[in-house]
Amino acid sequence: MNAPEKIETFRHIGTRPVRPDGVDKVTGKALYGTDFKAPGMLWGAILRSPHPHARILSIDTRAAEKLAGVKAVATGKDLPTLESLVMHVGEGASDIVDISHNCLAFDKVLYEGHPVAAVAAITPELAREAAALISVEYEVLPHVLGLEEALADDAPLIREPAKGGTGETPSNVAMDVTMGRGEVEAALSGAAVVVEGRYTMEPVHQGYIEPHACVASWNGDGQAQIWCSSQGHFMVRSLTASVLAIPQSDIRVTPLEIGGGFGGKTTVYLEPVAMILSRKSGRPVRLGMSREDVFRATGPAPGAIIDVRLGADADGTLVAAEVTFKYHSGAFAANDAGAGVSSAIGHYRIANTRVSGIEVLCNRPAAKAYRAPGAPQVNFAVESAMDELAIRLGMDPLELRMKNAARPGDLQTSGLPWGEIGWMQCLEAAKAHPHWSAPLGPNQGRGIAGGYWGNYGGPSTVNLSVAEDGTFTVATGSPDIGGSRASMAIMAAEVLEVPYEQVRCVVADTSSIGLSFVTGGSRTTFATGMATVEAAREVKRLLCERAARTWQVPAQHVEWRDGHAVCTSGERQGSKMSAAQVAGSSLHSGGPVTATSALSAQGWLPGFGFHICDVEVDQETGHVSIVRYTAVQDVGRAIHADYVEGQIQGGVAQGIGWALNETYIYNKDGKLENPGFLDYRMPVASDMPMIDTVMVEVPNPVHPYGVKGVGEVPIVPPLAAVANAVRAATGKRMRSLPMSPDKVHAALHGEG
Amino acid sequence: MSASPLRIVIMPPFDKEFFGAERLSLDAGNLFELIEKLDAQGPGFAKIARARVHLAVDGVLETDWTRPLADVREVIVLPRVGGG
Repeated sequence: MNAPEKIETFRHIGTRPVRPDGVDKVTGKALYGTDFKAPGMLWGAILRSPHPHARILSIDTRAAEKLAGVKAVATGKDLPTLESLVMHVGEGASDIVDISHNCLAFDKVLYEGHPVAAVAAITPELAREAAALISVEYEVLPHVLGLEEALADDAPLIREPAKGGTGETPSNVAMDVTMGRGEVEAALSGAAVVVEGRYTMEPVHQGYIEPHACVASWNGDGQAQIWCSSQGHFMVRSLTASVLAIPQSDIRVTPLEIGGGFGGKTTVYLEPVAMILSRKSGRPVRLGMSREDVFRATGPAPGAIIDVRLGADADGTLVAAEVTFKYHSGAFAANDAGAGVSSAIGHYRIANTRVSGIEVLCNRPAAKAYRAPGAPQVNFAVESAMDELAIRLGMDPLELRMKNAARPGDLQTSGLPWGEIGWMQCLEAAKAHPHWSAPLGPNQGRGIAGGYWGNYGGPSTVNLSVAEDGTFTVATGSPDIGGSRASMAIMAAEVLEVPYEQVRCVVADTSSIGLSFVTGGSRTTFATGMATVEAAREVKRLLCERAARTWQVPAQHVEWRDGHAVCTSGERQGSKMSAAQVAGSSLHSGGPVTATSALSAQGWLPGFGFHICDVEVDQETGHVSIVRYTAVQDVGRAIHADYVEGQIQGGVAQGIGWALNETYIYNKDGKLENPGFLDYRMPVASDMPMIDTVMVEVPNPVHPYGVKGVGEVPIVPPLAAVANAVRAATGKRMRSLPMSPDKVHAALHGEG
Repeated sequence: MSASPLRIVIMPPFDKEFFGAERLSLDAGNLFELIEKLDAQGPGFAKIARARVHLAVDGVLETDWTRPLADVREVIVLPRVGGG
């Protein structure tokens, strides 16, 4: 569906211009992390642990170092010893010691694929050969992968003692968060209907197409450059400098095009190692991951065990909710539990609530952010339980949600009141959508689910400059993952009242623009957009001021209209100067026209989404096909409508993969058996129907154009929407993801 | 400085991790000063605050910690949530 009519009151906001990075990407000219090469560059290779848990007794690198063409070898001993420091420059807080030990293991390996040593050589083949010559003596330790196994009294401890746990007995609990209010037990006891269930899922990977890669060049004078793709080159600078204990200003990070991140590129894996190899060899060094490396050694979203109890009065009013969950943390402390607690039940008005979550250390790669990190898991459980509750009450599941939906001013789980949220408007739009009342075919079922994500603001810097010909360049510090260059150009063109093509946007390196937080938390169009608008307004003011001085009239007599400075009164009334005319004479009117905006954006608002999913279940094979899907979302206001729809469709596609196909398969030795896209089954185009999107616009009053983050919300509801559709089609409640054909077949035919 | 002590609501996990309490009363001129005073009651809190803490002033998240607290009644200390 199209955006609401009010979008048409803008010149550019809500339009769909051609993306400025499109031609380079479709013609293969775009420079991604794996494409970059530097003169004299060496090729790196990393030796990874074959064991999920082992003590490193010794590392013998002599044979590798003797191989002709090998220029440097590094191990964890080459990284400086660091004091614990919790940093939040990526997504979620991380201890810099953990980040360092994840780049190169120090005394223990904590998962299969954990980097142990690295080599730089004159060819990639030599580098791999040399890495294979490194001899590592391990003391293999018992490993643990499962959540309940890791919490058992006799479980091997990943770290001793685990930080942030009970504080009493060493355990693998890395984080424990509880929020809520009221009297849950009493309310459940008095409820007319109570549903409860346990829901489980395995970790899933973000599945970005582009594997991690970088080139680092560290000179003898201490200055260094890094070229890489990431969700935040300032994050790369900060973490790399901290791991290496060097000044940030000595590192210049140049962002390259990024082939997907979804939260998984908000930390460093390779950059500090490439830096060490470069310092040792005196040459630029390239390190890159294979797809196998990405699966074995980079952070997935956590798997989960989630217990839910919901209670309601006979009329469907929710009276109590209890959600208790365990998330895989992997080898190091992760952060998803906090977001999981915040994202579980806040979309409903419930007087009595208790939500508890823990992070559990285990011998898997450290979990990392994945699109609304921590939210889809709990939402799967809560929205499945809501479906069950509707069935028990004999109520329409959409009416049940509308009856209990949170409104602006209602309290979130944290106790903070919701702002201008558009949750009810989403539910109303869904109810009015033809999909909701469309007939279903044989073996088909319809499921619904709703969810939300808090979004974020934070620091962004933008520089907007005017060229002598009156064209504009917006330089930001925010990597463009979802089309932010186009969105920034649209917002600047809107302020400046000039054609979209008159504004170009680039992503500047860390030495060329001020600090900007990662492109994550659905923050860039909101926060960097705020900075862009602020800079554009200042440039507009400067252009008017220059025109006023040129005409020798008071500044207040000049206004910016339709891309021109216009004199509005006095003898020069009606005189006009274009940006080209003002900027073309800037040499003689005070110098170049440029403005910088640096801010920490506040006032972000969450996004809410509601999804309708139709499935068809093959009774013979258990295969589930998605036959129709509609995603309704409060987007605040869509700046570039195509990109907003694309974000919604992408999130749904990833959520469907999570629901139906994706899972890690480890063998009894703790080794991953499906580290590739052939065996780790992500959805492909032929698995998908056209995903219909409905953009509900409830503008954020704090943002100049009403923006709310849109990128993460759409992955939250699909897991339950699909599961509820399968329930409707088969009568079977699937509580374990993925709902792969074997599981569905077992449920249908009494084997499960 | 606020006219009367601020009501400080400490959300999990910080209540148990640092303070052993869910409610505190403190005076502070701005949020930076509040963090200092909280650190005095829960040593180590200031060190992790920037990375792990969000502060809500009278129900609204506030990232500008220079904000004066003269007319403020309540500050909620809650976990900072990351995104993807």
